[in-house]
Amino acid sequence: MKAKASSRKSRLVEVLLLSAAFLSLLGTSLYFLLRPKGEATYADVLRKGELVYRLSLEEEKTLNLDVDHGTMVISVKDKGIAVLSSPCLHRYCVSQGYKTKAGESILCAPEGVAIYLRAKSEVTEVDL
Amino acid sequence: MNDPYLILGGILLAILVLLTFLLLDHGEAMSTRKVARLGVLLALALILGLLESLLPPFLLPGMRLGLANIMILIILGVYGGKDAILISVLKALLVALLRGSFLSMGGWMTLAGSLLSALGMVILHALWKKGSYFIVSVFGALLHVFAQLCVAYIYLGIGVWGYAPYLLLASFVSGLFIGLIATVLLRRNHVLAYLKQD
Repeated sequence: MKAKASSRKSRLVEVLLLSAAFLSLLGTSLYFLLRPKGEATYADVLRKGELVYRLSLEEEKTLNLDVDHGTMVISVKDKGIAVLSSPCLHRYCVSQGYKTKAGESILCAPEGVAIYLRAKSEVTEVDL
Repeated sequence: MNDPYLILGGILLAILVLLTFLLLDHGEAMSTRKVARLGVLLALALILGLLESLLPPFLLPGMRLGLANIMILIILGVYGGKDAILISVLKALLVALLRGSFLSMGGWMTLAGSLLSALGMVILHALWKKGSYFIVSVFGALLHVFAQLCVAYIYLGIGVWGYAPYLLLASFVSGLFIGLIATVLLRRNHVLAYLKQD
């Protein structure tokens, strides 16, 4: 009885440790799925999960986005998009610089802003 | 996130806290000494957590040492799983309240991370009494980061997983570090004597 219980326990331990390893692999492979694939043609700017702008990367543009703690300045230049300034604390979004490839993203967690670069043949600009 | 979600989240949170207290009934009243000891450990965990949050994250958003988990591991080793979960939940709530991130994305990330990692560590420890605290700590650290990534995904979308490999690797390393400190402390007789004294 005891031998059965302890071997069941050790199997459960293995399951747990393996699932941690599996989750880590899962997280890592999701990263690879998100690898940049080719040049982006447009970018979606989302604020708190809502699409605020859909910008074509062909036209140069600078725009201000109102966020929780102030204003974020976003720039489209040379077929790329970047956050020029942000009121967030660490400014990780700013340090990312210009992104140009489809699949890439710029995230600002404190302000809830996510910019996703995509590639599609036809784009209708959305300006909400 | 819209306001209805926040309210729903707040209600879920209240239910969670209530459940935690109800399910962790010890059958007999906790001795006053034990309440005091756990209070001290909770306070230490809070101090560690708050101080650590003042430091800028290492390379990427979210890369933290997780010093408060030293206390969680010690509680796990000395008092057991129930108390570890209790203190973990309380720590997460209080850190969020004190930092002003309660009911915001950061607060949910802390809560989800603390809860999943505490549950995982408790289960692993229960099944593997003689287990090395290094492995328990790494297990908890990985779960913590994974849960935080899931919450961040809800708020920011699929892009957060781009950070996953770096964060998971960092949490593996910091898990080892925290496990080291906890193991050392758990072997010190005066620490054990102080905590177990009834």
